[in-house]
Amino acid sequence: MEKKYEFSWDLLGDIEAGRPNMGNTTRVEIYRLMQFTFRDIIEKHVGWEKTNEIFYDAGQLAGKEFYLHMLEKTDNLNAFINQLQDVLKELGMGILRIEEADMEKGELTLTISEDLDCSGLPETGYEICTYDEGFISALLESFAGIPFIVKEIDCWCTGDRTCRFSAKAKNEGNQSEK
Amino acid sequence: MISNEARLLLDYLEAQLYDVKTNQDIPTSLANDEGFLQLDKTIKIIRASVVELGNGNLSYQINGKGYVLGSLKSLQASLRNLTWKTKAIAAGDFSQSVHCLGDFSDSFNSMTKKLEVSIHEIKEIQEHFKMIFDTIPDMTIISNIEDGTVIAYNQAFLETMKFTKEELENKTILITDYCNDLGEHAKFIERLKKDSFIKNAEMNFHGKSDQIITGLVSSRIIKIKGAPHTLSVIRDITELKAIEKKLRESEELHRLLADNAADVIWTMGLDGKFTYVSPSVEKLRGYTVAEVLAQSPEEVLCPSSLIHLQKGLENAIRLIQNNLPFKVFRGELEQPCKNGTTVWTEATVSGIYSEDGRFIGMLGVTRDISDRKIMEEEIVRLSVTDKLTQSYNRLKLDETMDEQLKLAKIATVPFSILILDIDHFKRVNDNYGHQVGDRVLVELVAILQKHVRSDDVVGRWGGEEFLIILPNTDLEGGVGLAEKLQKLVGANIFTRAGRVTISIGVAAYQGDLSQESIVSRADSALYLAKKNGRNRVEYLK
Repeated sequence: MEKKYEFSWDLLGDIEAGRPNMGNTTRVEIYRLMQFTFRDIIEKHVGWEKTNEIFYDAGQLAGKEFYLHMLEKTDNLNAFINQLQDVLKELGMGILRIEEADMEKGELTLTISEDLDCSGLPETGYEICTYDEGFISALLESFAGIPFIVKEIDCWCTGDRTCRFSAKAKNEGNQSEK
Repeated sequence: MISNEARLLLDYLEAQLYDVKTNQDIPTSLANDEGFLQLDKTIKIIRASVVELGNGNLSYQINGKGYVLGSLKSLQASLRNLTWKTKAIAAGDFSQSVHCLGDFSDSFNSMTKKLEVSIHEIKEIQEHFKMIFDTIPDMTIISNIEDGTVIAYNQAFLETMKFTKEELENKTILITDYCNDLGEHAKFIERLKKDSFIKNAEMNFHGKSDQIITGLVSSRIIKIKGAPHTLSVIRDITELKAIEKKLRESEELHRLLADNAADVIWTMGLDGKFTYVSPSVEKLRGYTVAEVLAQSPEEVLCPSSLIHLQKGLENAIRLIQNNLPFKVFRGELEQPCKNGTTVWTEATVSGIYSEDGRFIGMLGVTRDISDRKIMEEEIVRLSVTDKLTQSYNRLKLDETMDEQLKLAKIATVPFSILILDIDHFKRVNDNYGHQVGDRVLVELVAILQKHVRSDDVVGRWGGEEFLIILPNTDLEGGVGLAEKLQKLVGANIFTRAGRVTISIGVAAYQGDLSQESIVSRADSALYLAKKNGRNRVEYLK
């Protein structure tokens, strides 16, 4: 399979130089326009399940790069969560809340309200935040050093008011869950 | 008016919303309606979820979809997040804050901030306490009052008890293991329970080396996690006690020495008042210690010696005021005794200085020198006494004559001298032997001394020649006494020798510059008396 592009943070470009007047922000509709048109076209090409996999993987790549470039390394879970909450809020990506966290078991339940991807979407009857799932899994893996499987269990699209994600450390027993 | 079916539906829905228990059946007409059954399920989930949330059960699984259920899930998510944040705060992470619960968020965040400040203050206080606890130079421990378990100790405890930190780490330390007398400790705890506070109680401990440590213990009962504990500060006075004991022994020894010494040991202030007098003073002067301590300097010393004390005190004051060292004084003093006599003593006085070099008084040792004085007087007497006749010798006669010459020159007081010689004394020796001759000399002196005045000085001039110095006596007086003596001797019957006569030459002071001059005139007069037939008195004008 031919591949020309390989993402790196630098390839996001010099936004300050490139958009001296427009600045570094855009409207949420524009972000969603791009994401959901992508989803539409990709689904047409590869189907629902494969599209979800692509979005999950893309989210993971984004989460990994985001951790490297936007967060400061720490070993303390609370410090990590606090930092993530602040950055996500500051960048207008959503309000992160931890419901439960047991790092010894490798289990977390977290919610993102006012999510950039899905809050306010019409009810579709199925969860759609697979990009978020991948994004969160990469963040947790980068922090903990072990891979996590993240699954959205509540979503605005399924009639809920917040996106709830269940994260579990990946081990021999649940490797096949992804 | 509504239909009967609508009424049944309304009753059913009211029961779901208002009643505690819902026994109401689904209206028959709707029992198989898919849409109603879905709605009924959602209503029942909402009812159950609200009940569980209301009861505080945040782990309740809210299933189903829809706006209301979504909002309930959101509320549950917020409450779960709050629980998580509260736990994090309880674990000491004060960076947690809440932003999605409206007014409650502000209250919660204020509480967190306040809690953080309070915890910080408590930690600061704790650190200060720990720092103070650790740096207290005295042993400081906190122990459980019931079982004696030591839960905290400071560096001074380790150092005093000779333990290392490693030796006591992770070990249960019982204070009772280090108390020397468990009965004493039990009494201490009993008293502490009664009074809550004990200050400076003396107790003995032993450290690692079993060496006894004497401590001054001050304890207070404090509550830790509801259980009574003792906070004790123990001042190690082992060394102090040893020094005190040594000092006491030394004091006792010195007191013993002072009390039993033949010499009188005393201390005195610069005001001339005794501050201590050893009991031997009673033997020396007859006064008790209490009587002596109350005596004024005038009562302690005879007038001739008092001046020494006064001068000594003046000198001492002058030296002390000028920051000069006290000069040791040594001198002979005459002191009055209780029986009216006096006693000669020799006093040695030194300065007493405190450790910081401050003059604090005088220390004196007074020794009885009566015997020495008598001996000295005897030596003086012997040095001016003729061994045979016990009259004065030539030395005394020379001294007296010099004195009289000086006196005569200065005060024009006349004096006379008599030189007398036993007539034919050689015959006495030849006829009766030297012992009889010596006896004649002794008996002659007795006659002379008996009949001269107390101021007159009778001395042996040499052989059988005697010289009598008559102070304040002119030639006429001298001649008169000479004639009297000549007659008395001539009338006396000497032992074995019988009658013995004497010839006397008299001379009075005539502005003589030396004794040779006046002696020479008396000698010439004696020669004249011998020449004129002996047993007579002659004089030269």
